[in-house]
Amino acid sequence: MGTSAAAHKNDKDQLRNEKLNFKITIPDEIELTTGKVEKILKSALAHLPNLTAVAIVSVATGTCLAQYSRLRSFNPAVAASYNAEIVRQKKQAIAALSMRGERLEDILIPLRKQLHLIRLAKNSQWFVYLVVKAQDTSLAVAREVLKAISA
Amino acid sequence: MAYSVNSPAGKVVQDILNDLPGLMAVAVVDATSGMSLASHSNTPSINPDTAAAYNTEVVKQKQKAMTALKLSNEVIEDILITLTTQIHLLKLASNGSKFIYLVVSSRDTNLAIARDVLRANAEQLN
Repeated sequence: MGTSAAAHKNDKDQLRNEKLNFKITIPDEIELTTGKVEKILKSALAHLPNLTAVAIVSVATGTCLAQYSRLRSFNPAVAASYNAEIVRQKKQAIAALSMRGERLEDILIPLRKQLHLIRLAKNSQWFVYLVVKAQDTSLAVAREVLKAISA
Repeated sequence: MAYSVNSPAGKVVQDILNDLPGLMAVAVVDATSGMSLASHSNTPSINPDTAAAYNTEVVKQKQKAMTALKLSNEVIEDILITLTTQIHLLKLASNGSKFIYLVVSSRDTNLAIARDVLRANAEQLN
């Protein structure tokens, strides 16, 4: 117990000391501030220190507005455009079924060892894309954190 | 009723209906063509065959994303989509050739129950 608490504290300290200089580029047509983007990324890292990657992505273009990855081999920008296409396809499906009053909230994709989560902003212009290891974080926790930070 | 219980796909639809009588729509879809092998809807506005076609694109895009990320030893377990009052679930068969598409109302069913029913029924799909 004692050692794990200490390890947790170390994690947090390391996180605080880590240089969190995110490259943020927000096109004019998206209603979002760099402050908000920074806040989302920082609170994601604070709540889920073990996360694999987190990114904020434009729905319309699929470009990554900001990103953070703990794994050198995992580039969320590569996945961003595909995930934006998933969001657009699902919105088309909702439109094709003419579901009135229904709004896309989130898309959860559990893989065998990773969980991929997408949560749309209220204005549907951007979404947060989160990747965590299934062994570290449960789907429910990841979903709740994502809901809280992107509100 | 757009299925026959003699086919494996129709049997899966029937079993899911037995487990979740209040479901909104269900379909077993061929992942290559996007066409449904068997389907049932309790909601007049939802045509599960239309939804199946669009949702096949969702599955394909995610498979492309995984290839792009070089996640070669990973498998998509399922895809869960939350709307305002509905939950849409896509559960892939273990060989990836078919998937089950399920729509439930979030008032009647929770995500965990719906997922569990799909997991149990996807095994007989291959």
